[in-house]
Amino acid sequence: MKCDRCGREATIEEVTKVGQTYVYKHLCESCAAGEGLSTSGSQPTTTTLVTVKARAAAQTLACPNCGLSFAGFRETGRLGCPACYDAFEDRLGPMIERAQEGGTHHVGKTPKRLLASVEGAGPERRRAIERVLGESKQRLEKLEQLGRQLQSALAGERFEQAAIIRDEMRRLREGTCEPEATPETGAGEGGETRHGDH
Amino acid sequence: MGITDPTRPGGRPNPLAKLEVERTPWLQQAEASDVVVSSRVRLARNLAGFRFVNRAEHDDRTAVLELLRDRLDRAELTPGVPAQWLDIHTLDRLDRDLLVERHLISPQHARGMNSGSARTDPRAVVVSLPDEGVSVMVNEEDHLRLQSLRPGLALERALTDVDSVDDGIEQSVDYAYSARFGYLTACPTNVGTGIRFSVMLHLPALRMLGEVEKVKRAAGDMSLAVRGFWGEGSEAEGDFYQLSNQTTLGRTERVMLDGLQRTIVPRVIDFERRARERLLSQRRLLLEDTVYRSLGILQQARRMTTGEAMQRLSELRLGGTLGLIRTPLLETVSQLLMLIHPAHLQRVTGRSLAQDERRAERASILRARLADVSVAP
Repeated sequence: MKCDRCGREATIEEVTKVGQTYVYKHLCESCAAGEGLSTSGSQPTTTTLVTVKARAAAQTLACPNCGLSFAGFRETGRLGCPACYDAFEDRLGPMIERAQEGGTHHVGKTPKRLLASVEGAGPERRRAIERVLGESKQRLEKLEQLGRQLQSALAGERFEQAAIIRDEMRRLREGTCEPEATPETGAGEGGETRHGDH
Repeated sequence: MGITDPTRPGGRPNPLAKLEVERTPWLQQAEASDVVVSSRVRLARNLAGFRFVNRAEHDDRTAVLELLRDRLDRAELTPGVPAQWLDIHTLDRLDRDLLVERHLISPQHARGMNSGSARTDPRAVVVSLPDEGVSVMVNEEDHLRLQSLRPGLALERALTDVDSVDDGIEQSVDYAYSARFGYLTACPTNVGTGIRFSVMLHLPALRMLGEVEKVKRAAGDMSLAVRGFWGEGSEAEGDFYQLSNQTTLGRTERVMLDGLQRTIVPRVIDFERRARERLLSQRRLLLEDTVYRSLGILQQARRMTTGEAMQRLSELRLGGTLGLIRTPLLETVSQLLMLIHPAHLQRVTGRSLAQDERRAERASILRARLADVSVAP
């Protein structure tokens, strides 16, 4: 079930009795928090009951590859396999964002061989770029994240950092794997080439 | 004597024959080493198509180990330096402890996944010997933990080292990676770049002046963790503190590095150096008493715990950087910081020692190595 507000996986169901009819609302945890709904059991009985049921469903969420349940992950703090990141993405995303102090998308080094293995141009190359750098929506989100960092670096007069961030933004826009792909990168920015040296 | 012997008693080969027990490369004198003892960069990586170590069956872990043995046996971790593969699960306890003390493996890696499984969990470390500059743990929390550890302030060098080893490994294996989350790790706190930068700082003057808390607060404001000599979960011992990044996702490696080496680290170095100057100019009696008292104890004591030895050596090291000691001794003192630990002591003496014997042996080594040290006129 999708969240009524953001489209992510809904984990909370709120049921309100209006006259003789019941009004259902489905929310993910962060939107529920935004609406002032806590899941700690302070709501009217109906809501609480259904909420608990929805949470129980979330607890049975499991990775189709390794079988680890989300509850199992919460217990140990360790995921079971790379596929867990996909299986739990909706719930993991906000948790990771908190733990990573606002970091939502990966920027920086990428596995070179993923791209290098695709020699051709056209759709094949585009797919490879998407595997490494993300689909266009994800790349936009990464660019936004970097844009905020760029502003903060400039405001703090950290110009070396700003140059590195600009390189990374250019790389995302152009879909290149190597941040220092062109030798003039450093010269153009007045930066030092070693900063693009991944 | 000890570790450099090609064989052990009974004619068994010594797996750590190439490791120089008496000399720890990352404790040598280098840039800014009056304050920065060492710099470390580590990368967490996992192989695509395999479960993470904690959820893998014994057979899967063996498969990962053998696959990586095949790949890493051919890799040169440091150009021109042959890497040595060490199966941790076949090493005896003292060798495992020695690698922990040397910061080449984590205590968890020495113990194995579950307590009591030290001899069964298939796991390894690959080390460039004898320089020890680069090492790779296999089947720790992640399939691969690559580390470069260098003396003094050398984060740039450590990053370059570890980066090129990473590229070399990646030529023959597929890493678990996603466009959104980057390099996928068993614990989401390492996801993204999988990188951790850390510098080991010696801050005796700030501790004496009660100002370490200020450093901790400043570090906290910049999302940096402050840990002890042994890293995660350890308390500061002998005024040694490790400063490292806590977040791994959303910023590039270079931005993180720049933040550390251009802002916080130089500031802490400057802060400690000023504190040392203040001790010299305003609290000289306190400073001299602390340094010379430690020297006296180190030269005369008959029994000593590791903790006390770390503290005394720390204070002597401080005196050495401020010219209170006549003999140039920073290198000797730094190397002693490693030699006083239990596994090193036992390898140096060539026999296993009970705790009481270790305390006596520790005091004896310290007396012998510091016998010529005298106070400045």
